[in-house]
Amino acid sequence: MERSQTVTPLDPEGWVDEHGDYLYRFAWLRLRDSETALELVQETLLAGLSARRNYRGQCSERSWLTAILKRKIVDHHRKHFRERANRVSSSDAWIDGQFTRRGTWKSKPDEWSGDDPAQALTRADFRTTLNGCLDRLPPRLRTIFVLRHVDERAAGEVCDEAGVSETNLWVMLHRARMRLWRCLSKNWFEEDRP
Amino acid sequence: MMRCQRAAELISWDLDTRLPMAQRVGVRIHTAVCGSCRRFRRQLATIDAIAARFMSKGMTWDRPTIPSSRKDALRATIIDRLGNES
Repeated sequence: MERSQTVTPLDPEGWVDEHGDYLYRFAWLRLRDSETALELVQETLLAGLSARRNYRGQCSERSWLTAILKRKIVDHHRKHFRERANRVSSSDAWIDGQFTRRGTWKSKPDEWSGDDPAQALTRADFRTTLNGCLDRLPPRLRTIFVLRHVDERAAGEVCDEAGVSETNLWVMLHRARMRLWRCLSKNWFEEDRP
Repeated sequence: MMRCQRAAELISWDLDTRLPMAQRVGVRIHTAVCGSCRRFRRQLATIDAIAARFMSKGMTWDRPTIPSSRKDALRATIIDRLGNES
């Protein structure tokens, strides 16, 4: 029996409406910057346009475009990290400022009040606070932290993409977490909430 | 004994990797006697888990969309390119 494979042709005219917002969210989550996200989405659609004859129908149109976008994001991160010196400073003044010279807490972690932290994400106002705290992270720390969590990846893969050693990765993740912890404690968890 | 600043570092690294024995024991001894660092450890783990969930499930929350003017421009660029091909 002969099997004929029919490939549903791609429909570039419908891409923006069909996949635009999906791709944009995908990029935004990983870059947290609207302009760069938009740029990469545009580049993706144009790259898809020139490469569409290579599409064999092995995956959906959306997965195919997403795969292109993923590569663009990785390239963006690589370039971004290479452009800056890959040195991680050995001390972090902000973190040092959290502790006394003797290495004890300057202001001790306070008990969190209010509802179950696990439920916090269901509240839109919490997500706004969380986004605000993420936005306030120094850009490199934010990127590292996002790379680590957004695709639930192992630390080793993140090192690859960001071009940092494992030790530096842990140092940077710690710096990011400390800031997030302070920011969220102060702006959400220590507040009394109805 | 280990200081809180060092303990905080190790508590954080423990979320990313398995600590070497010496550090693991050190941080355990420290948190056994330091309530602040015990609390810190609990809170940090919570925040890390929340952030991880937020970002991995981010597609389902607060969906940002492309502004419509930018969508129009994108659509026009594509149609333009397609026109140039034929």
